Amino acid sequence: MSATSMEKPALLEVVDLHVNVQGKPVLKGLNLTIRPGEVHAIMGPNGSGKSTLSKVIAGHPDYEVVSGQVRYEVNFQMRDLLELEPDERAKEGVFLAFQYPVEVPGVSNRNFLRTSYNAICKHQGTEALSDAAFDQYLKSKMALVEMDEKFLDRGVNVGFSGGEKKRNEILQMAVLSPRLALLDETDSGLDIDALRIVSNGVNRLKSRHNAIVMVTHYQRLLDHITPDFVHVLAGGKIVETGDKSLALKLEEKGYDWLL
Amino acid sequence: MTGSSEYQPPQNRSPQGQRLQDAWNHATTPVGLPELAWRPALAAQLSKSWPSAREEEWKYSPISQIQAYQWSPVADEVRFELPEGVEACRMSAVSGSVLDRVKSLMNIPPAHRFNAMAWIMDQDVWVIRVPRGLSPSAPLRVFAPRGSEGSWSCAAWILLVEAEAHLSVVEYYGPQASATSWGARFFLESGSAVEHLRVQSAASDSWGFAESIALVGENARYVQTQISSGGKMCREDAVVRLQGRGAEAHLDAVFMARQEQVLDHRTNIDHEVGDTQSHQLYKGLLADSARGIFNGRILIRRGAVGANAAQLSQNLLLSPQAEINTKPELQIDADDVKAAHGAAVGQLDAEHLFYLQSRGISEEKAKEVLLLGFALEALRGLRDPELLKIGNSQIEAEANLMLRTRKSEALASESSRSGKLP
Repeated sequence: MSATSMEKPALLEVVDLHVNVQGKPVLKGLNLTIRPGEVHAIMGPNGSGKSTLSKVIAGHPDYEVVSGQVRYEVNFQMRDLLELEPDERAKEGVFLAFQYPVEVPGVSNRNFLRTSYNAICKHQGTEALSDAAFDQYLKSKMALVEMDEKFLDRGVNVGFSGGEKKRNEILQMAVLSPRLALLDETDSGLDIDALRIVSNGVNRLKSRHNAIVMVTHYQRLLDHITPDFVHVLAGGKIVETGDKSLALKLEEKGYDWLL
Repeated sequence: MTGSSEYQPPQNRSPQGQRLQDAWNHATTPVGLPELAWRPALAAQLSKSWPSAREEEWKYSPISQIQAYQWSPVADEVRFELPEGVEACRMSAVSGSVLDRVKSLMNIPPAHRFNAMAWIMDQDVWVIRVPRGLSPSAPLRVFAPRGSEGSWSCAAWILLVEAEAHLSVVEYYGPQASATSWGARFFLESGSAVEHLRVQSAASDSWGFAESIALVGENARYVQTQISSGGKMCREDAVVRLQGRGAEAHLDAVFMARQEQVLDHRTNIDHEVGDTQSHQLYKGLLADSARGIFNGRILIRRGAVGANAAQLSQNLLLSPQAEINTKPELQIDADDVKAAHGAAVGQLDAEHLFYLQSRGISEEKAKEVLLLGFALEALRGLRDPELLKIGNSQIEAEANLMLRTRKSEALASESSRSGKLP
């Protein structure tokens, strides 16, 4: 067996996933395999279940998995991700950049990031950074998303503009360096400069060890972050998979030809 | 009408009520002041029966329990640490314009009879004066009496902040094994600013009645931040009168109550003139069967055009037995003003919890972080780093205490359950 022909093992495997939201079926037999180093884009019309998929993977309690599997590689073994609490998933490297990041008044961004980073360090058996060392680390990550230090001592997302919230999500991604990053409509509400900054940040965080899944409405994000795979999610399952040219075709023709 | 004698108050006076009334009757008008207009009315109240839960004012308070203690009212000592340049003298020694300002402060009636006791028993209160234009870098520290077993401690003080002077004040207030009446009256001249942090840390068997009254002049800024966590029952009244254009008041507080505690906060803001601002944020964290009370009164007087008043009461109930009674009372007699109020009662937000958990923070820790964050918001008005430091560590300590007891209770109920197993 030659090494070159061997397919990389999967990081995430979603098998025949059925999910209900408030008793209503939203995902109806979804299949998806993601390997380290890959960038996937999930596109699709409104209400097709795009956001549901990322929320389920992150472990939001409002989503009821009816059947199917979500398996995730931990220490070279595929584990049932659905058994893990949301914080345990994060500790194993799952990250969700929220479509609508919540505001948490009273908790400073700095404190939030440090608590989060230290929780993950502790889980991975590495020592927590001193406050000063963490600040230094944080500084380098802030440069990545061109964020001003004044955002650190404000409440998490409190009074942030839409674009600043999205940048803050990518800052968190940079700090936590996840293995699987789900970007849920990260491009929505961004002006052209913010889109460039956010995309640059994501591109620089991309490596052969991690995978990125972008859930998006628009082709324009894919001009900045090139996907290896483009999937069309419609009616609760993936109905078409292709390379980046599929996104261009969707832009031109819409979704109707697939439905 | 024939044969009717003068009205006699009902004779259901308790020994405690009798003692308070005797003390009251023997007390004289504070040194150097004419008879205070409010005194006879409040004296009459004290000479009637003890307040009962039927009175609107004491509806939610276990006030009747105090009667049993038979405390004797005594005047007690206040301790100060004065920053450089700040002066102190007894009320009996003031004269001239200083006396005039003291008089205008003293003319304002206390919110209730137990607050009045602070000023009647403490005959010759300290008057602290910050001279014109002075901005000491260190805060003024004020230590209320801790009280002693068997006594009802009464003490008060006055602060005069002259024009363009700036001062930070930390008041430590925490009766131990007794009751305390504690009063503070502030006079802020034009362009002055005061940041006032009051830390209430009464012992769990103590009762406290505290009051602050502030007269705020033209373009003066008064910030009050209260952190209350102790006492069997503590009531704190904050009265502000915005008397000059451009005057502003920021009243923020967090009260953290556990077990059977009752923490009662009342505010009364009077926009006497236009172009004045008031902002209030009152945050209640209530666990076990604790009760919190917030009553926020705002008056915008006729002609106070351009007044802006905002009031927000936010409360977290950490147990099904915990209770909050929150009530805004707005009276607006002017046009072209802004007035907003809101009240929220709830549990921790599930979306907030998920957000933190999705960042690797355990549910337990996420709750801690959110509770602490909720409480820390009460410090939003403070700029002085020293006050912020004191406020931060006080809130952290109290929030941790609250979480620890909750945890140990959870463990206790856990072990009692497992104890039933063979």
